[in-house]
Parts: sequence; C-alpha cells; structure tokens
Amino acid sequence: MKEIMAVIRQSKVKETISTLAAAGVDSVTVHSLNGRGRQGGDIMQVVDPLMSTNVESVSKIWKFQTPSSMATDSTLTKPVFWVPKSLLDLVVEEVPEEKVIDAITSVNRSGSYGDGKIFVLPIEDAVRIRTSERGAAAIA
Amino acid sequence: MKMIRAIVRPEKEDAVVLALEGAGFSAMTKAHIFGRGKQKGLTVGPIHYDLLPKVLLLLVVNDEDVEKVLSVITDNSKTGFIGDGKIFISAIEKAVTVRTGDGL
Repeated sequence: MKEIMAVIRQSKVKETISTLAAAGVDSVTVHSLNGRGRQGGDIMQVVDPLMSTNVESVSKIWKFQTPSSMATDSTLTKPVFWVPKSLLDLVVEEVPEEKVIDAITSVNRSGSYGDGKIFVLPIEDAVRIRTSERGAAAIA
Repeated sequence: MKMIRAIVRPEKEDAVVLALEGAGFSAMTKAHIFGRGKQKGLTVGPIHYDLLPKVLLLLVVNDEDVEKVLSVITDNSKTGFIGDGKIFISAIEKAVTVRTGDGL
C-alpha cells in the first residue's frame, strides 16, 4: 500500500482528478495550501488582490538571492513568496504507483517552474471506519 | 529522503521560514491548520478552546540534512511553554519533479 502525495497547480486539479479516475484511482483527498520551491516563490505580473501580503517579510534574507527577492525593488512586478497550491493525497493498492505518477505528470507537466512534486510514502495499514475492514480491503 | 512535518505556532512561522531559507532549505509547503495536544486545548477562565490554530510546514529533505533541519526548526519555534508543537519524520520512497520527471 502506497500513499502518493502530489503538490500541483490549483488550476489543474479538476483535470488531474478526471485523469486519475480514468486510470482507476477514484478516491482522492484535496488540500488547499501554500507552497514554494527552490526558486523561493514566483514573480507575478498580475497578482490576486486577495493574496496576503504580510508574507513579504521573507525578503529580509538577502544573502540568498532568489528571483523573488531580486524583484522587490521593481514596481512592475510583484514578488510572491508563497504560491497557492493544491495537495492531492491518494492511497493506492492495486493500481501501480508508476501508473499514477504517469497520470499526474501527463496532465501537470507544462515545462516551467512550479509544476509540482510527487512523493511516494509507504502506508502500513488502513481502516475503513464504516465496516472496520483492514488493509487492502479498506481502500478497495 | 525524509518528509518532515512540523507543527509550529503561527506567530513563529516567519522566524522558522526565514531560518530555513537561510540554512538553504527554501522549498516547503505550508498549511494553516487547527489542532490540540495532550492538554486537550486551552482553558482561559470560563472559556475553553478545544482546537488551537497552528501552522503545518511540510519539507522533503535528504537523509543527511534531517538533523540540521530539526535543529533549525526547534531553535526558532521554541518558547518553552506548552503548545510549541511537534515534528514528525517519515520515509519517502520516491520523489518526482513533475516538470522534469527526475527526483528532487
């Protein structure tokens, strides 16, 4: 039994879920959260006005220049240190993990930074609360 | 590779993130969550708070960096009072960068 956690763009969630369903994985949990990668965020021309601005304190670290921190002087662009992302959380038993990874990457690969990460973790046991089934039967 | 899930006080979030970035770990995911510990929340006078706001930081690092990340997080989120949070570490079998298909 494997847990697959995929951090992806929020705009790709619907398409990813339908592709996963076609690959045989129907159950998925979606979290909405903020993330960033090695680039330390993003530089956006158009920024959601509802996005919180108090996170700009991260720019106080100047000794590690990231694309975002270099843009703080510019008035044309706005650095964003946390990018809204979605985390898809799935536990699979029958479908091989490679198939799930291929399904997620086929939808989400655009070639630019911020496409996301996929993590595979071992799961020791699972319980279906309704029937108390354990193990593979719980997620079948 | 290990996944580190750190639950810290919301007011310590900036300090922890800045310190992690300074130590070279700029890639992470955060979520604003609610939780409680062994004390079952917090009671102030007649008011009982069952779940308290916390920030969950999620990092995936190489095995040899785990201890360094742990010390950075604990040094910057510690106040010495109940409710400082927990750090959980779990094994990652595989990591894929969607853009390239490689590892981290």
